[in-house]
Amino acid sequence: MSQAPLVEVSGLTYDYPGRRALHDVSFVLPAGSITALVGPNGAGKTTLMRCLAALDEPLHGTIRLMGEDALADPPATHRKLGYLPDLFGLYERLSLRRCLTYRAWAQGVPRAEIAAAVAWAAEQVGLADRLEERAGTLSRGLKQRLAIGQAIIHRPPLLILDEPASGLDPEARLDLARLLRMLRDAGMTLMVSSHILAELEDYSTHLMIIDNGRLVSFEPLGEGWPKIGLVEIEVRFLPGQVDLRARLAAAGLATELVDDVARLNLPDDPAQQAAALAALLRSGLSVVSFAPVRTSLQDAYLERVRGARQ
Amino acid sequence: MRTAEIRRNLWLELSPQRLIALPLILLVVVLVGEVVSSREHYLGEVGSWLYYGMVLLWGSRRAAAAVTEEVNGGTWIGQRLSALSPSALVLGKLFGATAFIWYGGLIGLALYGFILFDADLPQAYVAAVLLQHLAWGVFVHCVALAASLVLLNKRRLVESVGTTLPQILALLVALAVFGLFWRGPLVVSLVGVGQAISWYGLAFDPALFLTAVAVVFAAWGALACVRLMAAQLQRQLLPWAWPAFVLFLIAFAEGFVPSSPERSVLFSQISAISVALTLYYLALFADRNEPLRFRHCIAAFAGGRLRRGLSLLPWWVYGWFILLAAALWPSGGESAEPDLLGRLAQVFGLTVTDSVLARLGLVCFALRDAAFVLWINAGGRNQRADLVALIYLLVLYGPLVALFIGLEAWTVVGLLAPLPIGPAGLGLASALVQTAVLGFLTWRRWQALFRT
Repeated sequence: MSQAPLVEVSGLTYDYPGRRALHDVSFVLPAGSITALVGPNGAGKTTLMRCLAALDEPLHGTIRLMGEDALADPPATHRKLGYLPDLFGLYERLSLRRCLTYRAWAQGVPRAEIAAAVAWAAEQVGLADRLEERAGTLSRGLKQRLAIGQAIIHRPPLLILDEPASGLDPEARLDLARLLRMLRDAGMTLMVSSHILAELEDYSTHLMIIDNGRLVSFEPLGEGWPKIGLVEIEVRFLPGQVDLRARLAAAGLATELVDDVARLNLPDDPAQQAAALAALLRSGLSVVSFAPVRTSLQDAYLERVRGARQ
Repeated sequence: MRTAEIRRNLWLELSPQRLIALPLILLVVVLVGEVVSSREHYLGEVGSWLYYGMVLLWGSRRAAAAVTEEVNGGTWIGQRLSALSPSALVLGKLFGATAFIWYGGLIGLALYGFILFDADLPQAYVAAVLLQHLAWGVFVHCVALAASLVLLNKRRLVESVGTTLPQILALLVALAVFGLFWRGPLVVSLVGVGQAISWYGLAFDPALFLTAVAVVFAAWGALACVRLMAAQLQRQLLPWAWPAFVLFLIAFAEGFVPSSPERSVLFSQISAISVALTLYYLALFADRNEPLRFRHCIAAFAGGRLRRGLSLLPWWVYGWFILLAAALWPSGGESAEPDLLGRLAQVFGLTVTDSVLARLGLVCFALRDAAFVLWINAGGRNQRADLVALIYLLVLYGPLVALFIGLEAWTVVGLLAPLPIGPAGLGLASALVQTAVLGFLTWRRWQALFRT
């Protein structure tokens, strides 16, 4: 994955009357990343995204998209990005084909490439077999897909999605996570805001925390954060186990151990988790319970936000 | 693609069912009327009323809704993010969102035109009258679209925008324009005989003159829409359009000033000052006056971004300088004849000591009112601050001034309103002091608002 900066933000400050929405926010967004933007309600997430999309002009600060000043020429910036707001609308009386065709026209896709662009976008969002249906007849999840299809039809390098999972059922959320990973694999850089941290773990490479308009942290999900695709399992042993730490190491299970409770980071794969449990039992350890713990990303997020507030 | 917006609107507006049903309905209406009416030119009248009913009443609503429906339906951001130019979007909304209205309206206009041609009128005259109808229709749609964009601009932090207010504004402007040009398309009808219109001393055929006026006003309306749309698309615009329109309107009105030397000073001032003053207050209440705009403006100038700073200055600032120039020209100081304010003073049986100072007082009171509007806007998060300020000013200039006039407290009146009474320069000094005080208080409020 390329880590060259796609977006460089420096000293971004945005005011609403009587309230500063963004305080001197600076960061660099690597190309090919999926950044999860999280923070409490009113933290400034939407304002930050609208500034990145050159929809609102900040009081101070610069935004460079692919090396160009994003605020100097907003129409040029708009050609390089797709943006899906939290509350989006569709032309519900138009067919999906016409919705996508209009968006392709509006984004300046050359006439000869319109049909191919419509077919590509519909394929990406899994709506290729519904192109003649009216947008108004789609379910909430499919509307979300159509809206994303409209946002990516000109194949922008940057895609910004504001709360794309809100209102979706669990199955639609899984589909969305799959779609976002696919778009990243297709070469896009994504920034996604959400309140639901568990779902962000499914696809994010970076986590940006913003609180009260200030950037609390922006880090790759790795060191210090739960690994993507891992599940934290809490194992309780019968008290009084001899050489517990050594026997766990001998079983090939590196772990944190406090008294008779161990925490294992295991792949999110039932077969591998069953194998780990079997290894513990083969070692002669008396296991009282073996269960996943609450999402660690959420714990870590709360820890950072509280730390920043203090 | 420049036609994207118009094609999308045509998809939405024109269905085969609608295209077939409308002419059938209109045919039934016309035939029933033809049977029950004995009037000679019935068909032509029906045609013109059908045209105005559809294009003015329904069309103005559709033109306003072309923006408000996008905002309320959540598709407006998608349009702001598109690569479409402001002119392509305006074209699509003006003629695409109203396509069905134009379809019905043109059927009515065709009926009207048929009767005109049938009456053996000169073809050039008939063509001019029909073009005049079309141009007024486009003008009203432009006003409705522009009003919705102005409203959207003023309520940018609000989720929804109504359609009725811009439609009413468009219809009010239409009524005002038709009232001013009463020889307009509703009156210049079948006979087409009327007095020549005198403009800058030249005689013009009413039909041709009004057609030219309608086309020019429609062009100004379209320009206003494109400029307002460009602002929505984050384009940084140099602010030439509004001052140009004010100057155009002053020059246009000047053309109607009678050439007789005894009346020229008064009427010139009436036209120049009243036009500049009307447009100044229109701009003051149409543009955004919230503190954030001025903060951005000041930051842009402070950061050396002159173009950005100029584009953020409210229209009324430019309008104020034109008002100042209009008040000082012609000076009238050497003329024994009383000027506009002098005539006003005579109504109250008073004498004006210095007309130049009085006119400067008028300009400074206008600035005082702007400072007042800014001060109210700086008072909090009130979305209706401009409306509140407007009500206060109406109370000041209406009942309050009337009360002091009734009490014959002329000095107090001179302190509050731009009436040329009391000691020379009193009004001017009062307006300057009030402007300075309100300016200082506004600055204090801004500082408190943005203290972080």
